[in-house]
Amino acid sequence: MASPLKNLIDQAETVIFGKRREITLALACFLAKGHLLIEDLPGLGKTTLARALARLSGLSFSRIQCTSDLLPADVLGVSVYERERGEFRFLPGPIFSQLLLADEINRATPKTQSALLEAMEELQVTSDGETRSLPHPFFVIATQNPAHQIGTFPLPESQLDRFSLRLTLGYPDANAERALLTADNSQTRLEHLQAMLSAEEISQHQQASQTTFVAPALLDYTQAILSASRKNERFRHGLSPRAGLSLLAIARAFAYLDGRKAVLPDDIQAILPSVACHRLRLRQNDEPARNEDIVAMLRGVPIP
Amino acid sequence: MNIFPQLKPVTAGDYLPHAEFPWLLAVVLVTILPHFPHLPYWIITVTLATLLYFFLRWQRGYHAVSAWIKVPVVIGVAAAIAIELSYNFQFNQASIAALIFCISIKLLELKGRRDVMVIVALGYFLLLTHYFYAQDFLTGLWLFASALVVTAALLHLYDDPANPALKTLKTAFFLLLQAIPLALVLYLLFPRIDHPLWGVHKPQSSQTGLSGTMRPGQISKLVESNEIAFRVQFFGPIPPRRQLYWRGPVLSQYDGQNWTVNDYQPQAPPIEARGEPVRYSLTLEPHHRLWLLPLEMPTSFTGVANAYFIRSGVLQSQYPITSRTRLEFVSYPEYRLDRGELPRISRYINLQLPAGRNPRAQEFARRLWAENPTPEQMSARLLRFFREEPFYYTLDPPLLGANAMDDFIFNSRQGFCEHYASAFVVLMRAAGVPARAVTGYLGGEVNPVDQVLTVRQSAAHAWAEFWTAENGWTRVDPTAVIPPERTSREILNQQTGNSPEFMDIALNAATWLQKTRYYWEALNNSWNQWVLGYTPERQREFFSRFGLSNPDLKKISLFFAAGVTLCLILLAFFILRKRRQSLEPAWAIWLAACKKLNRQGIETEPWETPFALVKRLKTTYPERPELNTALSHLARLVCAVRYENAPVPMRLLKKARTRLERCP
Repeated sequence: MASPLKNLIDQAETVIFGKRREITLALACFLAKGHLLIEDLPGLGKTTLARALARLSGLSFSRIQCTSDLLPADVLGVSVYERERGEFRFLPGPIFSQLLLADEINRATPKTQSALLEAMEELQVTSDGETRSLPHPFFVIATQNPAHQIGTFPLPESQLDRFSLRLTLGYPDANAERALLTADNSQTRLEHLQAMLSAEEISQHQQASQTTFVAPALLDYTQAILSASRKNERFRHGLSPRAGLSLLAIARAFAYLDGRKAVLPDDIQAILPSVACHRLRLRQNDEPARNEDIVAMLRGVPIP
Repeated sequence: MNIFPQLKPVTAGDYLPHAEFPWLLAVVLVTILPHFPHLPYWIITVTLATLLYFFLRWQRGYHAVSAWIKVPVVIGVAAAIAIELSYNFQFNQASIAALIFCISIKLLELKGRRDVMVIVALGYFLLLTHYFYAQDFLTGLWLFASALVVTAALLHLYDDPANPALKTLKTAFFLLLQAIPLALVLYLLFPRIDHPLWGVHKPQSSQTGLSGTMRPGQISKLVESNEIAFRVQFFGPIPPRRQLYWRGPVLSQYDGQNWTVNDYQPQAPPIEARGEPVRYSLTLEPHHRLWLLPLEMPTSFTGVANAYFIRSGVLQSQYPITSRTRLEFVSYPEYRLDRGELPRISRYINLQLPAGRNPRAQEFARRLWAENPTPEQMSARLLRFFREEPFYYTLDPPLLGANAMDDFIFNSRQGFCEHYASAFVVLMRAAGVPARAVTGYLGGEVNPVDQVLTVRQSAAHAWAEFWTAENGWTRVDPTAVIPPERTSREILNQQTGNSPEFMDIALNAATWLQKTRYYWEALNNSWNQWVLGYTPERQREFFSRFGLSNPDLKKISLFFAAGVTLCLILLAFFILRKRRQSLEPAWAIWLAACKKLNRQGIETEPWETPFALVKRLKTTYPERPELNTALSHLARLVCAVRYENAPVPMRLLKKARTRLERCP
């Protein structure tokens, strides 16, 4: 059932060594029709991951390098006057692709950020009074450098909530790094990747993954987790209902990728840090929550 | 708790589970044991023999009895019951004997599960038959316990045979508890009929109580009985003992030996109420007579539909009191009865003496009258006579001759209350003062727990009344003047024990045995009042509280149906709600398994998923592969049921749990 997806993960792992879990999560996010935020230092393979996913899934790919002088029109597209025809013509921006990589999104100005994120949320772009639908499927991978770097505009919480999942790749472990060093250039390896899916197949998987069964007990569990996050002393505020929906959707996709027809509490526990960390801020220092905080919170919620 | 255990279908060919034997033995024992005192010896012998054989079957594995033995035994016993029915048995006794024989003979041919069903059904039925003999609180308690055993036996047949007996009993207990609200509604609302549909032949015990006649030796015999005559609940302070005269039949007719009732005229005498009224309810035990035994002197009453006064101031019911009856009275202990003019017929009757009897007494009375020419003086003189002369108050006086009163007054001088009352009345009449004997009860025993006054047959008493125009009938208790040193010890013991003045100190001073008795009495009294005393009248009263005054059978039936429906809906709601809240069985099994691991020193966390636990134990306890496999197996099943909605049979889960529990 999910074996082409398994193959896809295997293939992706030939490019990004030792990051199978992250690849799976990214793919789950994709199947759950969410958007992905990768937060890491430069040079850890964020872009490589995005490109590998794009190539393997056979989606049209474009990339925006965000800077502080990037304008919304640079992302969405612009209408140009054609003198020969005597009318305006819309030149679609990079957002009109199936997989959009927004590199270093926190370097863009808030105006540009919100234009991008609104489009992401609504799956359409309105420009010059005309509404244009974005292609389907549509998946955004945004990368961001840790917020304490100079010259960044940190995404506000309301914007962060629109990303279903946040990943940190981290440094590869010793074996993976060794393999990385001995292997070919990542660019050449990327070019070897073949598309394994069509856009249509991806739509089918997206639909199928969301039919994964979630037991009533696990709905209770999800609710208990949301309520625990709201009661927890260490967080400034709790998780939103949208976070709960994302959690369930990604848990379904995660179980689907594992070849199961039902979600287990293990799935929820496995994805919770990635779903919750960027949405929660610590009361103590106003930093995003760390994995340890999420695990500590989980320990207060018994399995139903 | 799983309220509805998984039921297995019963088929005829099913073999009999060995574990069912002790349960069946218990069922048969609890249902037939209380019948043994009412059964002839031969049927007890037959029953015990079958039980013994059944016990051996259980212990030694004997076979079921063959038809060659069974058929003659059945024919023999049936014939014996038929013979007994034509000579000794009443019909219900015969049917009980037949039922008991059925249940015990069934034990002999027990082969499969359906035979067990027969025994259980018979057991339930036999439980009911105990109510033919007793309906008291203890019987109710015993029958509840028996119903528990029978239900548990039925449950055990269907449940996991490995379940411990206590658990089965507990389930049975909860099942019975659930039946209680419905039973209550049925009890309160089921239309009550004045006469039962089928006649319950009450084995009529020898009647105890006042007989309506008095002759020397009769009351003293009654006094030996400790049976309860009636119970009284005062709606106020309890009057002092000297006022606690419970008025029974008034005896005016004297033939020289016996005193009998002469007055049957249904007419209320003129009663002048004085002083403070005393209000109370009186619950009369059935005495199969007419009189109602109120405190002297009643002015109004409720409780019996057709009660009436007769001329001598006695309250009577139109029909004999054959069931426990609750009445409410208002009495005035300070009363004047029949003041002014005594009707000629009354005067004649109450002066009548048998001609030619007791000449010495008559002569003696005339002599005294000459010295004391008013009735009051005469009465006081007579009391002084009884006090000063060596009269003894005893329970076993000597027999008296033909002139009984002469004999008593001048020779034996030992007597019980009837002797003194009789002597007093005879002497008064001989002096020309209208007088009569009154029988009834004196005093009573106050239970300090619920302040209920219990009057036993031992409180039976006789006293006298004489008439004057000024005061009407005046009560005189000649026995009361006999000083204690001339009173026999038994009587003294009884009197001090009965005295209400002792009441306040009684509960503190009482030994634990007495205390237990007081509490037991109070409990029995409430049972009588609220359970057995729920008569058609009280049911009507109950209905009228719901605005259904004087309902017909149709209305009662509707009310009844509505009550039952409401009760069932509430019960269903409660049970279903409880089931929704209660743990899913699969998850309960998992939690129990976790607890078991904890007891073995393996920690589990409530937030840890089953698979996470399995994984962790695999790394921390690699030396226990059986445990790890068993746990992983159980975790897979539990997760499949709980999270994947998979139809895993309960049996598999239980098996996996057992496997885990047996791990080293």
